[in-house]
Parts: sequence; C-alpha cells; structure tokens
Amino acid sequence: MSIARTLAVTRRIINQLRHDRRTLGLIFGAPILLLGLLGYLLRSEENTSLTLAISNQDAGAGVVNAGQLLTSKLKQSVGIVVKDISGDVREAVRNGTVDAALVFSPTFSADLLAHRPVAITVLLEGSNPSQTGGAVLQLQRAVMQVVASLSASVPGGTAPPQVRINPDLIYGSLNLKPLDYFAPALIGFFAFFLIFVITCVSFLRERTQGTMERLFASPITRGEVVVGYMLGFGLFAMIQALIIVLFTTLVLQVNYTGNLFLVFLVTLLLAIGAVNLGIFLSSFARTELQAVQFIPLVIAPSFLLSGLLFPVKDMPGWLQGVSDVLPMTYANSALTDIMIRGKGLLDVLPEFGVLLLFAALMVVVASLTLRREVA
Amino acid sequence: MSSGNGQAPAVEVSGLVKQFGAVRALDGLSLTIPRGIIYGLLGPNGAGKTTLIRALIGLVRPTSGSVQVMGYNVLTAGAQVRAGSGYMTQSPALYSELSVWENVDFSARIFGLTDGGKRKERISQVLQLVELDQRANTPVSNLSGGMRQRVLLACTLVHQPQLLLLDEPTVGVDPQLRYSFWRYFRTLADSGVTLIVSSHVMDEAERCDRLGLMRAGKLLAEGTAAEIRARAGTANLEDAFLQLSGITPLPASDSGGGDRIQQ
Ligand SMILES: Nc1ncnc2c1ncn2[C@@H]1O[C@H](COP(=O)(O)OP(=O)(O)OP(=O)(O)O)[C@@H](O)[C@H]1O
Ligand SMILES: [Mg+2]
Repeated sequence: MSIARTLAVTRRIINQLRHDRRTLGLIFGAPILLLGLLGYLLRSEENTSLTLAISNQDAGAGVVNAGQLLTSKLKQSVGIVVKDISGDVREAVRNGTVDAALVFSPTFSADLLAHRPVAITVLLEGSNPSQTGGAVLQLQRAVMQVVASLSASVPGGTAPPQVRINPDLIYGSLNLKPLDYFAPALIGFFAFFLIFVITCVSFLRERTQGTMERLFASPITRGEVVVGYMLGFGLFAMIQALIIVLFTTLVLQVNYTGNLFLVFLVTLLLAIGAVNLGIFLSSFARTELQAVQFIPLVIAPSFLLSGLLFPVKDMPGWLQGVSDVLPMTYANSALTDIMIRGKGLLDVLPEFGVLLLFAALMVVVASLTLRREVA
Repeated sequence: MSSGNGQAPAVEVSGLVKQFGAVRALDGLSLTIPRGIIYGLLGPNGAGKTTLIRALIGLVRPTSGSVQVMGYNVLTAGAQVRAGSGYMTQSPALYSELSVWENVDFSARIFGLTDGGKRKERISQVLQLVELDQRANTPVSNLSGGMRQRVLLACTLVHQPQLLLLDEPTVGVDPQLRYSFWRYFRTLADSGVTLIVSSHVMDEAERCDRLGLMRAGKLLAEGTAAEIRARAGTANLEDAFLQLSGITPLPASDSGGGDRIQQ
C-alpha cells in the first residue's frame, strides 16, 4: 500500500469538496438545521399543557357540589388549562378546541358521599394513540390528587373514594395501535419522498448527460417537457400509491375506517406535486450529489413539521407558519381524516384544494424555471 | 418541412456577440451562408464554434447582434427554426438506458413524426444509413463510442431537416464510415439541405463548399478551400490556417505529421 497514492486520493477528495461549497455547507449546516428543528419540537413538547373542558352536570348533595370543587381545584393543577366551553363539549373535543373534556354525572356528589364507586367520563379525540394514552394518564393523576385532597376536607369522609376514569373516544378506539396512527401519514410521506428524489435526479441527469440540450433544440416547449414528465412519473406514482395502500391495509392490517379510493387520490395528488417540485429544484443543482442534498433540506423538515410526529398545534408559532406551507401537512391531515376519522370527500375538500393548488403551482414554477438556453 | 421565408439565405448573422462572464465566446461575428451547401466551421479549441451553432438554434441567447436562420429571427421565431433544423451535439447526448431504436424513436416523435407507419419506416432508413440496423435493440450503454456517435447522427437526421448543424459529427467514427457519412452529406446538400459542420479534420474541410476559419470568437477568413489557400499563399489548408491564425507554419518536412489544427 502506497501512502503517497492513498494521500493523493484523500487530497483529491478535499479539493473536490472545496470546490463544491454547497456540499460543504450541507455537511456542516444540515445537522444544525435538523437538530435545531428537533430541539425546538421536543422542547415545546415538554411544556405543553393539556387543555380541558369540563361539563359539570353534578346536581350536588346538600351544600356540597363535588363537581364544582373538583373543577376549581383542577384549574390550579400544574399542566392543565381549563377552558370554559359554553356549547357542546363533545364538539369542542372533536374540532380540537380542547384536548379532552371531563363529564361529571348528575349523581357525582351523591355517589361520592355515599361511598359508591364513581366514574368520570373523559372525552378524547382518539386518533393519536400516544396522545390518548398520555392524556388519560395525566388526567387520572390530577383527578386522584384532587379527589384525595377533597375527601380529606369533606366531613365524615375518611375512606378514600373509588373514582374511575372512563375514556370515551370520538374516533378510533383504545386498541388503536401507533402503526394505525402513523400509517396514513407514512403513506403520504413515502409517496412524496421517493417520487421527489427520483424525478429530481432523472431531470438533473437529462441536463448533465446533454440530452436536455438536444431536447430544447427541437420545437418542444418548456410546458410540454414539464407536463410530459409529470404524466410519466405520475403513472408510476399512481402504481406506487396503490401498492402502498394495499400493502398497509392488507399485509400490515392497518385499521382504517375511510374510503381507500380517497386515500389513493390524496397520495396521487401529493406525488404529482412532488414530481414538479423535483423538476423545479433540480435546476438548483449541478450534480446528482447536490440533488441528493435536497433530502435533508426539503424532505426532513416536511417529515418533522407536517404533524406526523409532533402535533402542529403544539409547535412554536413560527414553526407552525412553516408547517402551514408544507404540502405534507395537508396530505397528512387529509389522510388521517379519511383513514382514522372516516371522513368523506367533502370534509377533506380544503386539503384537496391545497394539494391541487400546490401541484398546479409547481407545474407553473417548474416550467418557468426551466431554461431553453444553455447559457 | 418548413423551408422558411422565401429564398433568404440559410444563415445570416451580424455583429453577433456572446459574453460568458469574462470570456467573449463570440466577438462581433458576421456571416452569411447560402442554402444547399456544406459549410465548414474550423478553428482551434475554444474558438466559439459550438457557441455559434447553439446561437443559430436558439440555445444561446446573444449578448448582442442578430441571428436570422432560414429567414426567421431565431429570438422571435425559434420554434420555426428548430422545427426545420437538426442539431447534432458535440458530445454523444443519448439516453443510455434506452435502446438504439428507442432513442431515435423519441427524437422522431419530438419532431412531430406522429404517423406510426411512416415513423417506423424512416427510423429503419436512418439506422441503415448509420449501419446500426442490426443493433436496433441494443441499449446505448452497450455501444462503442463511435457507434453512439452514429446513433446521434441518426437522431439528428430522422425528421429530414432542411438545416443540419453538425458539431464535429465524425469524431470517433472509423474512416470507412466517415467516408460514407460525407458522401451522404453531399447527397443531402445536392437535394437542397444546408449543412453546417464543425471539424478539426483537414480532409473533411476539403470536402466543404465553403469554409469559415474562427478564432477567439471572430471569423478570420472565409471562402472556398482554394480561395483560402490562395489568400494565405500556402500549398495546403492546414498551413493556410496556421498562417491566417498568425502562427508560423511548421517547416514543410514536418507538416504532414497530423491532420489537426494546432492550437
Ligand atoms: N456555458 C458556458 N459558460 C461559460 N463559458 C463558456 C460556456 N460555453 C462556452 N464557453 C466558453 O466560450 C468559449 C468558446 O467555447 P466553444 O465551446 O464555443 O468553443 P469551440 O470552438 O466549440 O471549441 P472546441 O473545438 O473545443 O469544441 C470557450 O472559452 C469556453 O470556455
Ligand atoms: Mg465545440
């Protein structure tokens, strides 16, 4: 083994990277970007509090209204924010105004005083199993603490009361597994990611191998190239979407309640956006190496900020702003709505609209950035 | 196939300038090329031959100057110019995963050969011409360098363009096939097609009807091979070009050594 030859290779690599500022920037900058994002997301996850609505139907027992007492005590609990909801608490949970709602039954005080077992109903949205589990635990702990301190102050009540938390999920069920929750978002993510990378690299290759120059020496227009690419890769995106949907439902046995055709449609729409995003971004890369660098810069933020891992509403404000412009966010929300909440086309129409708009915008932007001239 | 506006010359370029950062690739070049001839573009590496050809087809936006091709202004009527032209790039730009046939077929479709039967017939024709009809189904990645060059020529000819822009078309092609290429170029010119061919090979230059010698983005000399030899007062073209470029020709005893222009 020759040291000189080995070092010659090393030296060449150093020189190549020195000339490729973008790759250098990525090697040093991307970890900061990604760790920074994760840091923000995890930090904000730490101090999120549970917003709670309380529906107190407790008729009270004599002077005592345990429901009221519990409510005022819960308002002082750490990590819990009680929101006053005037209307239907179920609706508030459904539309995400609150994370959960407690319902005290009319006989709540009476049952407590009579040392009968009491069940407090907790209404939860239910589509995200890990959030559901966390909320139930947190409420259980808070309620038990409050009840214990209350029973100490109630005259004659010495035996600890038997209070049970009874979760009531609007969507899904308690045996919804994390995979069931992640599946919809993962379906969208893979379609987007793979189609984006493949289009971006093949378009770039057209430029580096010189076929683009020949293509543009023909009467073909930029729009024809972009739409042609879109249809070509769109076909494969369609087959891919079909395979993903069938595999997750048939082989992985993911629980879903909604319409599979809608799932397919959302995935396809997202993939078409990805094709054109790939074409658009390929004009900002000179080599395949630089094209691959769009993965940490474009795809990873999509993954982290689209609400797949971290709920968008718990993110710091500026990250929510970023999340709002990511097509993945809308695909995620639509796919979760369809697959877990069993919603129909009309309910996810806004998300469809955004995805369609994104795809259309990308076709235009990709066509406009494409240059006939080599220089 | 569009033959352009009336009987305007194939190419009319005037005061053409192309600046690439600090490099002036074309420096106020003016040139007229009549139809139906083979026009040879000669000049050392970096003279601006490729840039000129690209400007003719609208792939390079001129910094200043005007470009008329087949009577059309390339900036405003580029689509017409491109529809009637065939541009063979200097590097063999092909889709390496696709077969020979698929590459030529793609070019044919892009240039509007929509009739399936006629297209097939035409593709077979050009593949025979470049002697690759036996390799129609071979992926381009499995071809030799010269064979790729031949596929590229087939792609360029398939739509029967009236103007051919050939950037060093015979690089890597064996002498026998080169000979038949040039015979075919002559047939095309005789049928009214205009060919602009860049080359470094002197015997090819001799086959052109007219020659333009470029250097540093300018046209140094122009005319038939005989005119250029006479003007330089030399016995062969190579010496004439060296002379006109301001480089003293090598002593006569050494000049037979290569058939390429020395930088
Ligand atoms: N896209 C580009 N960007 C920057 N400079 C360029 C570009 N294309 C060409 N040039 C420069 O313009 C000059 C002319 O280049 P051109 O390719 O036209 O030369 P050529 O006559 O075709 O040479 P060769 O015989 O080597 O093919 C060269 O100095 C080259 O570096
Ligand atoms: Mg060249």
